[in-house]
Amino acid sequence: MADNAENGNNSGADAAAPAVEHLNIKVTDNNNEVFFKIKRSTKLEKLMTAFCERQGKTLASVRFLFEGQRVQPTDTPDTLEMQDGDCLEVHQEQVGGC
Amino acid sequence: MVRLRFPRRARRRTTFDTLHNLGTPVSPSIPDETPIFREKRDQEGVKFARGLYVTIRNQHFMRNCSCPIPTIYTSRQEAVIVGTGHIRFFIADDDITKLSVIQQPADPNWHCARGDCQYWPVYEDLLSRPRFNENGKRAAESGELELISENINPKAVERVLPAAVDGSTPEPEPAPAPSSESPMESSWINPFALASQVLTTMAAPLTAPLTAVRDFFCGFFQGEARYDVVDTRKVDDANGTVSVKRLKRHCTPSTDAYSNELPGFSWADNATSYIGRGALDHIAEVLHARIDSIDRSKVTCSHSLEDLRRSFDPILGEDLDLNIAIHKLMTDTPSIGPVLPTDSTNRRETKYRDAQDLYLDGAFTAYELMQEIYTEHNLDRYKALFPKPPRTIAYEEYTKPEKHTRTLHEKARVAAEFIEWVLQHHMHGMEGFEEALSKVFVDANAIHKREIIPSYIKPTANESSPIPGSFPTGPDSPFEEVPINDLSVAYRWEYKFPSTDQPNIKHTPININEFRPILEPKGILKKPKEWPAPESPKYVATPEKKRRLDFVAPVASYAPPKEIPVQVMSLKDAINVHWHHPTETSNSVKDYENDASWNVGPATKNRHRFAKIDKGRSLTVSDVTRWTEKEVERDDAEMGLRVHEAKYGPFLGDLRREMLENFQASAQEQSKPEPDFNVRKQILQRIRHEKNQKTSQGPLGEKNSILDRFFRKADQEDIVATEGAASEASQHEHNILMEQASATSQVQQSATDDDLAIATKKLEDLEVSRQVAHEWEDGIRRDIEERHREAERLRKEVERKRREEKRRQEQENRRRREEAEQASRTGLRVPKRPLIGSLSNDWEKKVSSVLHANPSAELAKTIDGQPLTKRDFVDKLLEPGAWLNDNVIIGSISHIADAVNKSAGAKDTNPKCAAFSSYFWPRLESAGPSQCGRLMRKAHIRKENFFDIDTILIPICGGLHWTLAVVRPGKRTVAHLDSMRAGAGDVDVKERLLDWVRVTLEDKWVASEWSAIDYEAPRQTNGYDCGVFTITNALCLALGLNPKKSYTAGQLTLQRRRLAAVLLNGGFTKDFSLEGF
Repeated sequence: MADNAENGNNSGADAAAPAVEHLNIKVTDNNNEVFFKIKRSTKLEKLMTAFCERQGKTLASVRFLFEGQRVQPTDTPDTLEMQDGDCLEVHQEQVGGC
Repeated sequence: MVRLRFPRRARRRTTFDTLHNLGTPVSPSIPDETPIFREKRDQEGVKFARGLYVTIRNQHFMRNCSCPIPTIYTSRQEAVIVGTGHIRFFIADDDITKLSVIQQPADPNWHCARGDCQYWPVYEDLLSRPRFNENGKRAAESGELELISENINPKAVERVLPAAVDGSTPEPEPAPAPSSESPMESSWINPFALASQVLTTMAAPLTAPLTAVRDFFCGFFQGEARYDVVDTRKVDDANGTVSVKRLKRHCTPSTDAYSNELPGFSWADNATSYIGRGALDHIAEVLHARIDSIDRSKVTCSHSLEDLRRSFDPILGEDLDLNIAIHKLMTDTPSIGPVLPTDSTNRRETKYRDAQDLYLDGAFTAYELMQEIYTEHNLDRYKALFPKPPRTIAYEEYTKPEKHTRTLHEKARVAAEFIEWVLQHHMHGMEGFEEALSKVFVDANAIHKREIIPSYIKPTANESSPIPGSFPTGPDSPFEEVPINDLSVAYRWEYKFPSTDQPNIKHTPININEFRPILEPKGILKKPKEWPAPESPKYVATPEKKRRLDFVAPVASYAPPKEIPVQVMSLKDAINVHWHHPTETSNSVKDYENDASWNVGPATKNRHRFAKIDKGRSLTVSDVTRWTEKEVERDDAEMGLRVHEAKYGPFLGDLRREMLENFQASAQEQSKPEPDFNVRKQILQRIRHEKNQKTSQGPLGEKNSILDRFFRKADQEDIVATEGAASEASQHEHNILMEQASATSQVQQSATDDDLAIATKKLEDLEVSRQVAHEWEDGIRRDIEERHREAERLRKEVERKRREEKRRQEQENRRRREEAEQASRTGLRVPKRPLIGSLSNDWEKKVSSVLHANPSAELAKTIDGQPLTKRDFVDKLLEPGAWLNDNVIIGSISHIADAVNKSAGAKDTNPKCAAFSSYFWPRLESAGPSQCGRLMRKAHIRKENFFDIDTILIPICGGLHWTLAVVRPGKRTVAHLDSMRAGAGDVDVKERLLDWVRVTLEDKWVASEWSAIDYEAPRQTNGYDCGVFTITNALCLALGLNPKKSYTAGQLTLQRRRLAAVLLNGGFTKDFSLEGF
């Protein structure tokens, strides 16, 4: 898998690869759904920043979760074993006091 | 040697001797006084009698008692013999400062029963000065008499100047204006009116000697010469004018008061030379003739002068002059008084008899005195005693009278009074002998005053000073006429008994009950001096109302008590006595009918009245021997009320009680024989013997055990006591106690009729002893019961304490058991050291430096790789009241799990403590347990190793509130810790947890094994610490500690800094190692 990614990254010009290599990722915060088509090796930071800019939120105040797991900016779809059509959930930062 | 011719008849025994012979069997021996009385008197001396007297007087005064205060007798003899009353006062040694008192227990009369209401003016002066009237006013003194004017209708008094007596020319005096209305003249109205009244009743007013008041004073008169004067007044019935004659004599020259020498005088050769033998013989003859007339019953008892004159019969030898004289004496004497229309016949006769006795007494005493003093023998005696004539002589020391008769100076006073009265009334037969009579009077007065008799001395040749008491010669005639304005006089009788009818006064009827105004004296009298207010708190200023003043001296000083009962009165007699006329107590005087020495005639039926004793009453008071002024003042101030009453009041009461008890005791003594003590003793022995027999016969009951002990003790003491006679009384007491066991009937049997009284007394004693024994027994029983109760109480107390201890221990055990159960159930323990310790200085600095960090800089990174910035540290953790975010929660809990796993040496894939992120719970809720595979894989929780995991920590953020879900597979428990509920959790959360466990375990799931429990944890009391609670609870449960025992809510501010330090440190390592908890 790591080899694949490396391969993909390294061989961006491969013809067959783009169909396979691109993923459609849906990002939703219960109100809005944004679809991103990204490469498997693309850091999700790009996606997260784009979504925050579109929604007018700061990255620190939102949490991107994939199947309940926190998505770090450095994560890529490969590291998260994402598949096409997977969905990223956007949660508000969890804060509690009382 | 000159011999006076005295009638033989007059030499018989005096009335006093007669009285003594016939008198009551009163023993003159020293009276038997009670010890308390004698002791107190001996202790206090003179003060005692005086205090007692003042107390009695004040008691009478305060009680407003009608009975008189005690009489003061002149001597002890008199007090013992003729005195009455339980307590009798007398003058000791003729010294008036020595007032003494004796007690007569035999006399049942208390002092209240004393009959005589008068006492000596000197003592009045001594004891009761100032004396007050009933209305609190003091009596007028002699010098104040001129203030007394009670008539406002003056009548002109024309001055007449008849031929001078003895041919001497009177002093030319300016005649007062006839129409003068001076108050002084007005004061004459009453006497004058009375005189006029008397005049009209007299048929033959040849010479009308009417009113005469002796005014005895010593003052300057006619320049330098000093005289004692006697005023004599006459009313001319023809024109109603009054003439006043003044008899003068030389007064004693004032020399050194302490020297008894009389300078300028020597003894006279003859006692009769000064007066003259012839004159003395004549006077004695006249006096004897009068006495003889009375003895021969030549006196008629008449009710009025008119009646007297009408019934006068010269054939019977009646002496009209004598009758008139006696009648006038009756009128003049205050204690007798004139015959009033209201008087009964019996009373009139009594008055007349009294006057007759008085006349006889006076005449006889004067006769006797003359017989005594005008003898050469008497003069020679004094010549022998005194080489030079002394100033004063205590005559009574040298003239020992017969027993119980009057002393010389007493006789002299009576005689002087009588002669004075004769002088005033010009006794028939004495015409031309006034001067001689006056000289006798002066001699008698001198004796009474204890001065040298003027007849006994004569001036030495080279001395020109006159003899004291002698009459002036030459131009200084002894008689002179004086204007009435010069006289400060008042009619004695009128002041005492004012007349109700005032014929001469028309426009101002006089009410005797009314007080009359005091007018300012005017005319030739000098202005009266200001009288100082009496020194008494009771004095009240004279109100502006009509009043009249009474006076006491010197006129009153010559009104001595006339009657002293000679017989000891019984109480019954005392009740019947009419005090104002004591002579009605006929029983008190012995009848003289049997006295053969008396010439018994028809009129002598009543002569026993003569037996009244009139002792000399007015002693001369020497200024030296008076009570000191200070003493009198002090007594005046308190009136003797407080001191004397406090001191002697109870004493008097005791005396009275003692007297009564003595009488009762003496009365009982006669009626009741005293019981024989020997008989009583025998009875006691017999009773005791019987008791002993009974004791030996059989044992007494248990009830008498105490008494037996008592008796044994008594017996022992008895043996000892028999040795001493003094213990006889105690022996009797023991006997009484011993007889207690024997029946009362035995005592009754043994008591014979003779000893009935003793037996009764015995029974009472037995009864008392039995009561004592019973009380003793009861006391012991009560004591034992008391002790039992005390012991019972103590026992209960111990029992109660034991029960309490037991209960407490049980509670403790139960608590421990429950704790043990709880601990075994939860598997939690108490930390060995404090969970939240303070940070070191280095870590404090590091934590504080976070505040100044770059906001975008990555300060730390969690295990998950999540970077932590300043925002997370400061805004979400360190700021006071900051709410924790998911980064801090998840980072901390993951550090906890990591530290526990590392300490346990567990591999990452097979952890002992697993921690989920806070997003596990939302995923579980939304997607269900089956969709959490990724998260469970990440947490390394699988079906296979599920039971190897000790603790699974699941932070939950719901509704802005952090809680912690804990699954402990080893214990098969799930729990939910909510800091707001002090550790308890939500049921739904637990159910969801169990559901998740069930799904996870699949076929390993045994429902019966699993349970949802609650842990104890500190309660959150604020609105911002729930995240810290969650992390700390997670730490405790991961370590297996009881959260409640591990930390408190107050430590969580520090915990925030510790968490920051742990995050900066990158886990619970080094300084934050979890080892040792």
